[in-house]
Amino acid sequence: MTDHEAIERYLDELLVQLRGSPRTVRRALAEAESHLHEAVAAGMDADEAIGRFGGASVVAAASNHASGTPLSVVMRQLLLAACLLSAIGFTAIGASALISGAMDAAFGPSFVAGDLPSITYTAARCDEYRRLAPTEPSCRAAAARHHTDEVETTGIASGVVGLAGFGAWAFLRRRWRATPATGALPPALVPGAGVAVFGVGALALAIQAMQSIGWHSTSGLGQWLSQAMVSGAVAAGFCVTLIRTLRRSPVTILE
Amino acid sequence: MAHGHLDLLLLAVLRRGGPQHGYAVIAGLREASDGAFDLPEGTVYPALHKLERDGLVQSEWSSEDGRKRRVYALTGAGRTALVARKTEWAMFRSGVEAVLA
Repeated sequence: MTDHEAIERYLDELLVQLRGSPRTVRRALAEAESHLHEAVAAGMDADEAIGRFGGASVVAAASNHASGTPLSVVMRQLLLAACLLSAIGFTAIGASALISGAMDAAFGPSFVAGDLPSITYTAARCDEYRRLAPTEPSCRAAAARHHTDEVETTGIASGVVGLAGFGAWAFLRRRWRATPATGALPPALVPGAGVAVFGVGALALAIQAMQSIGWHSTSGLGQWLSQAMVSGAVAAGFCVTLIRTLRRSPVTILE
Repeated sequence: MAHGHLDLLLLAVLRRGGPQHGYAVIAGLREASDGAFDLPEGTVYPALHKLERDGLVQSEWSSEDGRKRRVYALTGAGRTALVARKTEWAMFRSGVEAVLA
């Protein structure tokens, strides 16, 4: 290996271990390169120059410690990430409510949020449902209407909260744009968390939907199906983003 | 040991040698200490960056013989800090010597 190749290899190792703003990383790398070439020009071989300069992990640790991201910047980025994930979550609930509404129109309220056939109602409970849904022909149908309306209205309200969350996220991101925060959080953090949260959610909701089918009843199946569909779609979207982010990330495998 | 007083040592080297690039600062530190402070050279740069952030040194890229180097120089605040830290060091040293005597 030539001196030039040895230095290049060392700089590659250093690059993948440096943290901080792009400017900090570029400067640390440029000074390391300048220093090593200076040492070689002064008569050292590359291995000796690198040995004197210090292992990549030691030098990177010293640089990362000196240019450590302030806690306030880390907290802001975490808040932004939490805000974005919450906004997506609430909006997803809103979207599932719209799908539930479509299922309600197509298959009726019993499919969306009806009770299982084994559920019975007290007279007082039945009267309450009949009062809330007087046009329904039976107590069971009135209960299904009530539950479905509840699923749809709370879902739509969640969707509105989610859209407000997107607004808050966009506002805070613009407000904190001047913060030199690049690299404070790993770029794959939000998509990774999204895949985990929405993936597990989709799985749990799909299991819930399958249990309804297992009980040989479609009563209440719609709400689980709609939520599982939306959660699965969001998880798939995060998965695509995660793969793209990981493929864009700085090279971490040394040749 | 040297790491605990690296700021003082770097300020002193820059005052003694005037504006100089990182490689020369590190070489100056090694020579002036007669090899006693033989730190991993790459760990000196973050210390220089911190001094710069604190306003005690300033730096700029220069190009010489087609080679790009970052040249560091002491600021007025750096000169003042050096005097103060030398006084602190002298007091510390005399205190330790008094205890050890």
